[in-house]
Amino acid sequence: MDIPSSLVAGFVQAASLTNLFYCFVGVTLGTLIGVLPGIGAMLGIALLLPVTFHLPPDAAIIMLAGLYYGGEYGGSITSILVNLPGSASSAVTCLDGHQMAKQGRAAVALYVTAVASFIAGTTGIILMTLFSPLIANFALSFTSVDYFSVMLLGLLASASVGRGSPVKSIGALIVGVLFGIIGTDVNTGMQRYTFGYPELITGLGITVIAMGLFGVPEVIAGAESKANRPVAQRVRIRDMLPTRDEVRRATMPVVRGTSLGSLLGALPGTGVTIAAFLAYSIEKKVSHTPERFGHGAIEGVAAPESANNAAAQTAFIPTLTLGIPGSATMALILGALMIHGIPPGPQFMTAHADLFWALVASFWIGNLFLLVLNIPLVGLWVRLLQVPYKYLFPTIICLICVGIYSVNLSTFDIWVVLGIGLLGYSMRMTGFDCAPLLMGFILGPLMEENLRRALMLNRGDFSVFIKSPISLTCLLLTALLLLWPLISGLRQKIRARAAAQ
Amino acid sequence: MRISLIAAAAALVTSILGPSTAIAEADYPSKPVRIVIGFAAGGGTDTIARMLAEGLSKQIDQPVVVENRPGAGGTLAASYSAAADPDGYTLYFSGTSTLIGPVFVENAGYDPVKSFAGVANINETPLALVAGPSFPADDVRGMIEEAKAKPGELFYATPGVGTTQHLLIEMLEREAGIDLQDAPYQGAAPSIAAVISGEIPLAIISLSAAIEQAKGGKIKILGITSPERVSDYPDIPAIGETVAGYGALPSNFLVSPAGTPQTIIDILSDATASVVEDPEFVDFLKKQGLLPKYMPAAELDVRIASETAKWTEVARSLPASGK
Repeated sequence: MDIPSSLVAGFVQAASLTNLFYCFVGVTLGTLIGVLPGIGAMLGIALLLPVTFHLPPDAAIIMLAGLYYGGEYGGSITSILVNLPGSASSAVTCLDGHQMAKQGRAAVALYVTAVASFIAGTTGIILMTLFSPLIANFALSFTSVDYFSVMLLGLLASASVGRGSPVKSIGALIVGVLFGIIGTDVNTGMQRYTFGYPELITGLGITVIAMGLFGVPEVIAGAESKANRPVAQRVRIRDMLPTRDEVRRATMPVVRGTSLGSLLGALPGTGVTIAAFLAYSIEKKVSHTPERFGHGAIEGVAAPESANNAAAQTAFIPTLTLGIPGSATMALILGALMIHGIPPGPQFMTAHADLFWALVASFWIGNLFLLVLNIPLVGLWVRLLQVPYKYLFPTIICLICVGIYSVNLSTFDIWVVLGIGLLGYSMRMTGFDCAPLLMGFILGPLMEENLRRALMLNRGDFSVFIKSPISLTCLLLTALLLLWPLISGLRQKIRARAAAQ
Repeated sequence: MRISLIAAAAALVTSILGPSTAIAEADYPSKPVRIVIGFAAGGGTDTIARMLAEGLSKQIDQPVVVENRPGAGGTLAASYSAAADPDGYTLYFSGTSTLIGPVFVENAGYDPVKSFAGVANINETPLALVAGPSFPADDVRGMIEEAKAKPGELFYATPGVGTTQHLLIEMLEREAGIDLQDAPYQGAAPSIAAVISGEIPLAIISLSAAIEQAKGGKIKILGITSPERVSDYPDIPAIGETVAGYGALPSNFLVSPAGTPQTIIDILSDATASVVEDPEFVDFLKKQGLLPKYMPAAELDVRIASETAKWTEVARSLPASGK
């Protein structure tokens, strides 16, 4: 069958009453789970998995997938409102989104997030419809050599998202890498910095670090501020809409964020997170007013949000077309397929074409649900900010503890959150940004793993990094990012000279 | 005076506890049972445990709850369960990785053989030796010739140092007298991707994934790691056919803390037998490429001891064991 008729058949199947219902349940639960701190889509899917044993396979997968991208969206709501990233990929949204909320523009930020996510999600789905096999092969062509260079680019990009001085950003980044190294070394199986604690053998969890760095300091800082109640905001539809100027400024970031996200989402592992950070850092580089970033720039919300939502869709490509899950969450979705006797693999798209197209169609329906669900809900979410701090903050701390504990049933993790929280607070006090630390934590160990594997496989030959076209491109982009301040400085000088003559 | 008081109290406590343990044994199970597992909710092992719990619950007429305590490669959950009361209300969903755990984790807090009493074996996990599509050989014999022609140059992908997949290749190297190089990845998925993309020529992966990838022409299956062919897949040769003496299959089994009364073990073992032989459960395991294999408690205890010796010996030869 050709694509249009397959897609139509997919829509027909996805729009059956049962599937619509489970799609709705999935995205709604996903949004809620994304909003709850410490509980990500992964735990949500894991908890819901046993329920899906007794559902028809299409309904089961449609619901779980809805939970996944719904969670991706929900995570950004709390990033904006209370500086609590629901997932690592929405951490970068905190930077400007939460600043906008502090300026009383939370509704606009949420509205832009919803619309940007929808546009990006739709684009991701269209790409998935047309180019799945192509994108899958692109993802597969990445070797350890290329991964290293992508990680390097991502790491450098994240150093430049910081608000403070570059030196402080790099410092935070290195501390993050050190935290990331804790645990078992992938290449040798040796334990590093575990100090005899068995809990550290598998390393620190991403949610633990994200909650500690962003959530806890926000609560401590809020508790010491005199204002007992934040700015009261009454939200009418009119307040939600961005100004014409903001629409103009957000358009290109959405386009760039979407393209970047679609491309990187297909990469197994950290594609979604890298896409968000890279999108933000590109916007900051190309902006004529980079100083606005970190102080509530709309581009700083639109770019990463479109990047991570486009990536959330294309992340399904390697999972469905190759049977290789790109992340632990995707592995759970594949597990659900297997339970229904549908083995994931390169045959999936042809052997279960009806299911594949129904799933693709349900993605779009789900994204539409998210848009329809969330625009009216913006008012409700913003009202959350009117809860007096003395109730809001203990609730947040309580939710963080419950969320973190529920992942591993380990009180150890709660102590780590507290420790990281105090570190985050002291960083905040001394003008260090937490975002580079988080990225160092995620990318540092991956970069090390791939660098060492690449060198091992190529018998220590460093030239492989410039022989591979993908790697070379990334390294050139890295160099460009590094030299950009120099180039733009030169350009300004030339312009100034031209103006003077 | 104080001493006699304590003694009296102790006597009282024993007199209360003594008979009540007997009563507890007689009307077991009188409250919910939990199965502790060392992996996160939602994964493959967790799914088997949950299906088993559902079946057991119907058999013993009490709720059976799965409790996930991931971390430190499953050793946290193992030591936690080993320390639980041996009353049949805390069970541990064990597997081959639990047997190897103490080799890599210092002070793991349990002994794979002594800390637990076997309840019943549940399934075996067939794994396959696979090669990328451009690999020059199509069978185990050809692979060994290739490896002998290039000693120390052929790489294989594993989901991590000390995993069962890694140890299975270490065993093959010994039996076949070849020298391969390990390239560890983080988890099974990237190790499969590495073989498909051609970055790494060889790997040991789950049979279900191997069959699907082979259908799509993405990889070649060289052989299965079990000692003999598996009846469900008669066309796939066992590695042992070429390499005499080679053969190992990781398995999953239910255990209880050491010291659990035999009557309770028997109740649980019989209940597990009914679940594992239930056609619905059999079907569920087979859909995931697993082989249902019930084994009663006494037989399992013997097998745990021999398997621990077998796997531990290979694991100890790795640098990561620190031995």
